[in-house]
Amino acid sequence: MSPLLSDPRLRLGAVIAAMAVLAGLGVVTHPKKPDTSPAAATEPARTVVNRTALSCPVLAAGGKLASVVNGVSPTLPEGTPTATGSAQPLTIAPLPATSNPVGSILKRGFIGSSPVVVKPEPLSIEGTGPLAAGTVGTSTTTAEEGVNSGMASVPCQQPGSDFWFVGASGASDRRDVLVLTNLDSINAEVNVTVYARTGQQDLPAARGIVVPARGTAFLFLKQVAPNLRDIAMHVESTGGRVAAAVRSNASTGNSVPAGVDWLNTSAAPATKVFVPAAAPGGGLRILSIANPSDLQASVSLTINGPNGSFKPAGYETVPVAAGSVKTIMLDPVLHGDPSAITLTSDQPVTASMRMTDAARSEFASIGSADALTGPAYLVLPAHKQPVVLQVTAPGKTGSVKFELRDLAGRALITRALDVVGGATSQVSLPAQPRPTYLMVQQTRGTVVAGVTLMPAAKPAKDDVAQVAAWPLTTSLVFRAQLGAQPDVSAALR
Amino acid sequence: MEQEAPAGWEFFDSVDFPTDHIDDPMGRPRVRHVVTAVVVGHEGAAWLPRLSEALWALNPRPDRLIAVDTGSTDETAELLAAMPGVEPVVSVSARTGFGMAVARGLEAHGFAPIPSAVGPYGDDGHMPVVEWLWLLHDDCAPAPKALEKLLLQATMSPATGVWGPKLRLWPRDRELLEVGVTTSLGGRRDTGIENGELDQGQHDQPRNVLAVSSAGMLVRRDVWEALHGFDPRLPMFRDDIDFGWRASRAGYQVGVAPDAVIYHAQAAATGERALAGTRRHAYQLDRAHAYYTVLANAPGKLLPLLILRFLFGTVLRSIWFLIGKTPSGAVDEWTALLGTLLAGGWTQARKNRRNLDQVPYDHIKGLFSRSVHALRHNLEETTGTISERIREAWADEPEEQVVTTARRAKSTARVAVDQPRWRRQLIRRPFLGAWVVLAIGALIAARDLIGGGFLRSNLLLPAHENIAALWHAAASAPPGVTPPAWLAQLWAFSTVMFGPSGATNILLLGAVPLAALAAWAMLRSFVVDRVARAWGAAAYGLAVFTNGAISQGRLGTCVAAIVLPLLGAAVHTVARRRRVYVQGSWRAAWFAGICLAVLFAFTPALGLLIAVILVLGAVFGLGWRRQGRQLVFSVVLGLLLVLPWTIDLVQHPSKLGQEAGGPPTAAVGPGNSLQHLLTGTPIGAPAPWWFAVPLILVALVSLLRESRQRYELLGWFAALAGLAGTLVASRLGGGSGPLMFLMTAGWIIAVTVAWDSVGKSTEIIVQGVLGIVLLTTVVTAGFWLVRGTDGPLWSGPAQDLPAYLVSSQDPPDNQSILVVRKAPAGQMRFSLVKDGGPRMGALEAAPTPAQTKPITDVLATLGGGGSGEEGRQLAALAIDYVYLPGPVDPTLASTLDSLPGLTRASANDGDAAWLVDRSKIDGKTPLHDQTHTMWRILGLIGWIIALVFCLPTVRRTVAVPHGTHARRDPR
Repeated sequence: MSPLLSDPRLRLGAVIAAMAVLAGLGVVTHPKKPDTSPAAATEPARTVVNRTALSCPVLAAGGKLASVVNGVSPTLPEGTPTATGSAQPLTIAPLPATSNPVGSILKRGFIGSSPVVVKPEPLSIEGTGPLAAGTVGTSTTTAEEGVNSGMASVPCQQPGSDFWFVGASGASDRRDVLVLTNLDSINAEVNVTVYARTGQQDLPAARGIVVPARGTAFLFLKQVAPNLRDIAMHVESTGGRVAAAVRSNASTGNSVPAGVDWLNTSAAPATKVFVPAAAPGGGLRILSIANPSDLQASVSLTINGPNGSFKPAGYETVPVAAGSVKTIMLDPVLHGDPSAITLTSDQPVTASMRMTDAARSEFASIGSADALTGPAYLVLPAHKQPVVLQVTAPGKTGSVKFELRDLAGRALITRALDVVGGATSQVSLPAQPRPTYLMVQQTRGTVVAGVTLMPAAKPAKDDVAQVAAWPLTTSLVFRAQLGAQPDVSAALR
Repeated sequence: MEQEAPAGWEFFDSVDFPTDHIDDPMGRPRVRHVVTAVVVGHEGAAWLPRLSEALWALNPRPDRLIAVDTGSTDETAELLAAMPGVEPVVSVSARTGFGMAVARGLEAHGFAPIPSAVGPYGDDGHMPVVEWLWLLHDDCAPAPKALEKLLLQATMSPATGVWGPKLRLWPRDRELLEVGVTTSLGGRRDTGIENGELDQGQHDQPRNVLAVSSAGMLVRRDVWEALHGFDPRLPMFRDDIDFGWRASRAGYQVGVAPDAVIYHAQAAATGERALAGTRRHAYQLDRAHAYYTVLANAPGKLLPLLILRFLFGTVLRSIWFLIGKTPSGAVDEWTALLGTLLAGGWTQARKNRRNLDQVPYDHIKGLFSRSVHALRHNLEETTGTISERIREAWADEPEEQVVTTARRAKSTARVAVDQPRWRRQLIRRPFLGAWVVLAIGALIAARDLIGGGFLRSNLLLPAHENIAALWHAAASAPPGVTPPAWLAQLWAFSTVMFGPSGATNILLLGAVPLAALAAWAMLRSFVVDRVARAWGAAAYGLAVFTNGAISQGRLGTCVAAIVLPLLGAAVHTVARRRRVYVQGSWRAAWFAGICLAVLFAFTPALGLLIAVILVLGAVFGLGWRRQGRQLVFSVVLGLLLVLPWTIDLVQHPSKLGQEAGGPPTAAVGPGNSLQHLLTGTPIGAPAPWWFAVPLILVALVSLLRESRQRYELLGWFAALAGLAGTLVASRLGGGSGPLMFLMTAGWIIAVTVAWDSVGKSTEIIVQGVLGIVLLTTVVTAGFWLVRGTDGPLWSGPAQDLPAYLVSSQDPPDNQSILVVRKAPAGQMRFSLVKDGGPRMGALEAAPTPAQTKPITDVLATLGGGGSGEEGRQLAALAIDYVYLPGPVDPTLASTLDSLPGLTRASANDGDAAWLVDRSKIDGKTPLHDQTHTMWRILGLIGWIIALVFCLPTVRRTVAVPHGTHARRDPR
């Protein structure tokens, strides 16, 4: 022991001083966040999409129609991983595995199309390789007359196992068909749960629908659910994957056709639901709210109009009975403004909006949508009237940037757009004689978007009204970014 | 203690006095016995007076007494000459063996003449005459009736040619030495008497035996002459057995007459008289003679088997000697065996003895002892030694230490005699009481955790299913990954502690009493006051709980808490100043190295801190002298013993911040809280941080004492080192649970040492301060009992999968299950479960990203909706099931639902499972382990060497036959 430390006061002082110094260091410095990630954890693997399969449904033949499928492997932002290897064309082909392709997508950024046919058959866009990432397509049918008059256009669908449709009907003025397409090489089995005004329906015929491999199956709502109006459907596959679409032919009471279109899918039920893109102009705006839960839902509506959000009088609280669907006529509230609707509910609900032109001779439907989290791509068919890109920021102020490219990939419009919080901004995109494709990328805030097409305010005499609505959903390439991480302890609670 | 018995008649039991004369109770005709006694003396001056007395008291006396002196240098010759009626003393050289000396004596004087048949009471000529030879040692004393009883037995069973008495320990103890002796065919001399067995008449049946000791052996003259006396090749050890064996073979029975008592001093066996002048090791001589005796006498058909058996025994004993660091013992073993076998003397002896064979071996087979007895005897000896050591260690005071100094004196508690026994025990051994309380408390505190299931927490993976699995895991890891060193050590522990699960239970749930025991073992070396020592040990044990090591399931800190005091004791042994010429202790240094190896493996940060302190202390504190070198050696040894792990620590210094269990332990520490940092209480510990404040204050106060401050300063140094280490570790992002435990331990040492020196003080301040300390401890203990099971530690199944999935991992299915856990809006975490699922060490030896890449890719695609190919891809990876524990991500579940090749399987409530169709695809798992056999073998060798060097040295124990007359080896 050193002589210095033999004095008790010095001993005590030395120890206290040492503790004080260490405590001081403890105050001055700050602990580093410990790395407790699993040993093998690295950067989350980014998914590389190297295979695509899209199902493009078509209308049933009838009248003088022209059906086309346009697809594109869009130009992706810099740095987006794509599959390596040489670019193999994506094929646009009928479903049977032995059939010859009717079109192909040869190069990224270039729109590929199927020939315009009058007797359409369901097509698929399939392929592997570098072109697969981000591929989108749109199936469009136009007709001048007959049951299919007007425009029916729907994005080609990624097969999945869980789809929601709101706004179908089994009543006599409608001919709605659920079209199930199986692009895989094994049979799929699908259960459809039907909700109507009177609650959840017990329909044995809607359960256990077998969709043959590389084939389609139909569920005719008029047969399955006769006289049921305002139907919401939950399509679940219990094995295999299907692409689901609802084709809807409307007529007025005396069997005069009142247009045809596809019901776009709605987002899965949630307590906060956005219905984007209520088209501007006259006509009906019917909001259908489905409450698949076991409890009555109290839904409150917020309209996100061009000038900001407001709560329409009388719809502060809309009760929706358990398992039932409720429709609300919103055209008196919307006043023909381009709007979106935000629904807040205490139970998970989902919704859709049906829009008609002023003459009610053609309609379109758009389902509730998830907010954009990355670039969304959409192929727009040739259109004679300008289409409207409607971007809504339901929460705080958001911003998007969008590009419109022509079929050779040349950028026609490139813009950034700020959307005031709660409001809907619209951008009118001029008429195009050829298909174009649109990229919308959220850059700030929560943003939902959709594209609508309405007939001219003062249509020429021989014009057939064309109403269409396309949702914008985040491309799979950017949804699949969160990969998987090995973690031994994941196997334990 | 007066060893000499009082002279005179009272030396003998009264029962030994003659009360009647030699009349055969069966009424057989009387026999005239003529006895010639031969006493062989060698340096026996200490015992001969007693023999003289005994001979004076003897009735009847031998007819002729011959004394032989084998070259004694003391007054043996004079004392022999003074014996009653002795013939002139025969002097032979000091190298003469016992048998040879007897032969010389008989040559010189001959057998006693047969007395005239005509006596004062008439003519005895009609009575048959039997001549006897009676052999006596100089350190034995026959009881007065000994010869009479021997002759009585001889009269009753005339067929017996050799008689032996019952040998009892000199002086009048009732301790039995021998009642006849036999041998196993392996050469072990067996008396059939337990060590220290008292004579209660339990062996008092006259019976036939294989041989009797040469002390008091009564041999008929014709037998002696027919057998040519003792074998001259056996000057000592086994000469008696060889003689008895030969007699039995020749058809002369050997009997023991337990009524005849001879007291024996066992001079040679107890070491009072050195085995004179053996140039070879006595041990080797003993073994060699044992082999010779068996080889010379055993039936020929058994010889090959016997030689094999000798070889086997020699190999075993050689290993034992090598483990016991006595290689010369192994050399003795082999020279004895090979020397005897190859010298060939036994073949000659067999030839000479061929004509003896009158009795087939099967008739005397029952006289030999069975080898099982030898085994049992060995076992008893070993356990006896161990239990004696434990008894010594458990006694609060080292037994050999005599209370001489004042410092020692105060540790001897004065206990009133009228107290009940248990209370006296408690006052004498307060730690025993405290420890019992801690042990029972450990059971109470672990009430919810004891029983079926595996101990688990987020910091503790379940233990392996069995020892074999742990053995495999200890050296297996994916390529490029070093298996953690603590698995191997845990394996070694679980081999003796009821398997991996049992070992984990003992280490975790028994951590408090075990750590207290270890601390007590260390405090014994420098804390004298028993109460202080008991408090220090108990408080140290409770510190494991307040640190949170038990309730969080931090196995590393628990083990460190148990090992740390043992290391401290070893370092203390090395570093303390002793009043002897040689300082330090290599054995302690080896042990310290082992302790350090455990610390390096279980708590690398603590191991590193202590290693640095030891090296610096060795170089600067002790200088580069013997003790310093020993400490540095122990550090190097510790680093070497965990070798591949050491390299791994150097390559990945971040692993220093972890303890046994895995990466999440890096989060254990003071966080950003100053009070937790200064009180050494990790965040998440069960006890609040202010529980440590009284301890710290008292530790500060303890510095104010005037004298004997070395250990207090050491304690404070440990605390400050722990604090500095905690600071550094937490600022670098590592865990500091064990370092914070070191702080608490340091304060406890400071307070204990202070208590030790002031504990007897009656000052009110001192008593008050000690009262605060005690109160804090009691409160903490109560807290422990109540809140012991609160922690994240729980007991449950080893896997959270349904039973059918758990059993599907077993052979022959060997299926693997991909468990995917996805938080909402988070990324997927997955684990491929096979071979029993994630067990201890799986976090450290997790597969590399390169290995899991195929699975990662498949899951990443599935997370994005999948492409439809994943079912086949999963099958190609030999994955049989995909399991999603709840809450199930609905998107992922529906993707899997729709995936071709996957069908729903049953799952626990809230979970989801899919069966992958592997009927078409013969998959290959991407995860492969590499077994580091080389490191394992090197490690085993290293640990065995280290353990051998810290174990005590084995001594060669020669089972000197009780009757052996010490004399020089003639060679």
